[in-house]
Amino acid sequence: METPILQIDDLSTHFFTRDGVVRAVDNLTCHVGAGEALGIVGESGCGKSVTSLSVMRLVQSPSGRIVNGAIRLQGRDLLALSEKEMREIRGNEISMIFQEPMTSLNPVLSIGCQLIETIRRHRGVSGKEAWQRAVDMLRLVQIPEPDQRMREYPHQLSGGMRQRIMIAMAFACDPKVLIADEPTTALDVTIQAQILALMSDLQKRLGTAVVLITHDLGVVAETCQRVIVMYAGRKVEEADVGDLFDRPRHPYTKGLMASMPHLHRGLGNGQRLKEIPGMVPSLLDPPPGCRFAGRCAHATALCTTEEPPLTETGPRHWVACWHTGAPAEVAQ
Amino acid sequence: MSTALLEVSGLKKHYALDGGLFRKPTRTLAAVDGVSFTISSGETLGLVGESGCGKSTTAKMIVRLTETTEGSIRICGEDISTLGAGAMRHKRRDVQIIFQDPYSSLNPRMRAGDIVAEPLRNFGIGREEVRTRVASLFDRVGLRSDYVARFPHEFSGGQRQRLGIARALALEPKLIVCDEPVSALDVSVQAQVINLLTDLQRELGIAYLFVAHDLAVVEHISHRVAVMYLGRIVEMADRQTLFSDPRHPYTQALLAAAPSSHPRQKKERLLLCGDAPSPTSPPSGCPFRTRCPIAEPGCAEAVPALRDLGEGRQVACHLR
Amino acid sequence: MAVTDTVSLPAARSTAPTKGRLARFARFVRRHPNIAIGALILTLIVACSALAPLIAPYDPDAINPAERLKPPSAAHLFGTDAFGRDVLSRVIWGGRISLVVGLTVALFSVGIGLAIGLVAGFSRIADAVLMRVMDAMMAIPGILLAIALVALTTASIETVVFALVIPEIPRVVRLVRAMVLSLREQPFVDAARAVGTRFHMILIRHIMPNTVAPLIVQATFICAFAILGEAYLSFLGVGLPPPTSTWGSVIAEGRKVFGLAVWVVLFPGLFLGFTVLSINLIGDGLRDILDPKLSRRQ
Repeated sequence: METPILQIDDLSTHFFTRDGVVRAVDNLTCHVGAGEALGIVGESGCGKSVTSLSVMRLVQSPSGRIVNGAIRLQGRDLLALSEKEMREIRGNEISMIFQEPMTSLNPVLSIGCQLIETIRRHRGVSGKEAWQRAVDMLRLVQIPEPDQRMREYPHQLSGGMRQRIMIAMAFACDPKVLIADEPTTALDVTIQAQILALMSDLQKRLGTAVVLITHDLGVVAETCQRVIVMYAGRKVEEADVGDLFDRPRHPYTKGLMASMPHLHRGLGNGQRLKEIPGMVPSLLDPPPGCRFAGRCAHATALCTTEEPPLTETGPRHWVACWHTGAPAEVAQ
Repeated sequence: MSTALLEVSGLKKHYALDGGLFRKPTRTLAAVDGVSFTISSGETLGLVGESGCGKSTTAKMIVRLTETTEGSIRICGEDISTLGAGAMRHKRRDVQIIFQDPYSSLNPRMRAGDIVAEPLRNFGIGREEVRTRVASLFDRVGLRSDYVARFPHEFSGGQRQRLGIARALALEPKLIVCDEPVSALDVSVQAQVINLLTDLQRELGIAYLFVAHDLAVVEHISHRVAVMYLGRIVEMADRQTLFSDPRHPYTQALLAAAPSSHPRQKKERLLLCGDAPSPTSPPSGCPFRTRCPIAEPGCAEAVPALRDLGEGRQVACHLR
Repeated sequence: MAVTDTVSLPAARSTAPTKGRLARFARFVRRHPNIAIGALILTLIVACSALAPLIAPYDPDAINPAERLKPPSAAHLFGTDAFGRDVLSRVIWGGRISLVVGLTVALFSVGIGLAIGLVAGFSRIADAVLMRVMDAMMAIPGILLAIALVALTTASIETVVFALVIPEIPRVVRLVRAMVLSLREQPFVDAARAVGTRFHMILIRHIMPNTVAPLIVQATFICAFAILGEAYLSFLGVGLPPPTSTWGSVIAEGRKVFGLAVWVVLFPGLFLGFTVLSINLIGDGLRDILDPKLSRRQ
């Protein structure tokens, strides 16, 4: 296998609060190759956003700290870099788009001004060239009348348009990795479909590695090749996307899939959805063993004492569960 | 047909813009522009649409949290849109609402028990009875009854939404307006709340107006579905009919845009171009024509009326 | 956003089991050292003033020409002033007036401000009128008002309180009005209306309790400011008439002999400073505790 663009090894990011240590991300290992789209799925508090902030080295200090692990961008350990070197990487080699495009754009600067600033900071080109590049980028993300939009301000644009601007900004310096943290959660379905199509298209054309962080399995099914499922700070399952949807092995993944109502599944009113009982455990002094044990129907004494290791149960399919020996069922 | 539990006809909500104390408003925003539908008892009507289509405003008008500009809202035959405050207060026992945000819809300084007891106390129910009824409501929505003394911040999102449901159930309403009740919840918790709502309907025969943007959730919970666009209903039909054979181009686009539930079902989809126009300056004629893949010049001339196409289906399109 | 989400997760769990009162107290002190320190200083000062008749070594107004301007000694811990009066006794007694003025001003300004603010927050017409009146009130300098009042009437504790309350009211009104305007848009107020809660109950049960926390914080700052204000007024000679001792008047009298007897100014100054500091410490601490956004981040 070729060396991945981004390799994360044993990453642990903890938050040191007055109440104790919150283990937001615990021993996470994963990688993304060039031109690949990796989905990280999980519910709120599972550590998926903290993972992305860790890669960007934007974890809020002093309470949050990366306590262990390595993050390698083409073999270079990002955790060993100085803040100054890291600034060179952010927005240049690794870009990020966030859920709420309004808060990520400066309301008092025009779109063009912000785009040009990003381009000039990393490219060192003249103002005129940067302007041209910015207009090209807006055209690339299919914004009509790009010259006109350059002079407009964020509040004059719709949510979908602002997210396109963010994408343009993220791609402006030809990043090697794009981290998209819930990029379409704040958008309407028809706009979400537009943005996802745009992102997939750009990814294919430019060969960027994409890490897509989302709570929506549907979004993953739509755009990713490989998926990591996270629960309470840990990776519980990793597989190719088709494999994961066909043969989910971890009880949490199965539960997640079964609890989602699906379009056209004909499950009418009156029929119950499968629920996962209980709620996510506190990441402050989490229970020993498997973190899902408290909500799992198959949990045994072993599950509550020993942490299950990640085991490869199929080609490129890893699961952290003691009970994957049972024949896998296709999720209903 | 017997009289419907809820009968909304010609409902409109217009906001005046640019107005002030001494200035005449120059523009109006038609958030809801002539919406009509009915709900029978024990039935769920799903109301879907994208942000800004007026679905939440409609929901709030039905519980009179927002005043109507025009139109009538009949509950068991009585028009509540013009009732005075006192009479409306009594009518509130019949219609309740569940809110989207389980955090801001609970007073942070009230205990869980008091939140659920408030509606009962408002209608003069004795202290002892309030206590037993609150305990049974807690039990009914799946909360431990010794949680009554807790404050909202001690509950998780899903539990808070259960509290909101208990509060809405307290007065034994005939209709509950659910304004995006699960969209702020995590997927696994969402299923718990949806199941609770369907259980309650089966046991108590409550009717729901279920406002949501998630099509899969609406398909799961509704008997009938209405699709809104720019303040109007563009299509309304039985769940099965609407989801298996959508007729309005907007409904079709909406269904096509929903992410697939399996990577193999990735569809070559018809993408709508552009954004929804602003409700302050809607296009002439059909409101959807600016994004419609099949629009014809004639669409700009008149607003299409909601026509009956048989099989309990109504569509507002010139071309269908 | 995402980060605070993760970190706030433990908030959902119930409060940790407590190991008795002492442990809980120790935990509180560790978490909120500024409140603990402020409360300690303030308690000492309040206790001194409250027990003035018991602990003041001398009559604060007793003139003793033989003992004029004595530096601090065993007999007079804080020394004596130009009339031979014991500075310690005057400071202890003077604290009574200062603290009472501070407390009354805080109570009146918050009470009146809350009432006006609620009305302004709920009625658009009243709002337009009241806020212009408040703007006008804000333009009156407290000191000038006090001077005018003393010139018109006699100097008394009521005059001082009145002069200090007037300029504080608009500040409280603005705070309350802003809070009411945002609270009435909150979904839980809509929820209360939807379950048939009457208007006055919405006000009492849903709006007012949610304004209390910021108001308590504001009240501590007003209290501290009023204690200083009373000192200014007494210093300028428009406060309470002599021989009543307040910290301000003791300092004012000491000013004349500052070069000879620095202690006459120093000790009441220190008491004044520590009182204001302790109240501000408590106010800051309370703000941290009572602001749910800040406390969640801990």
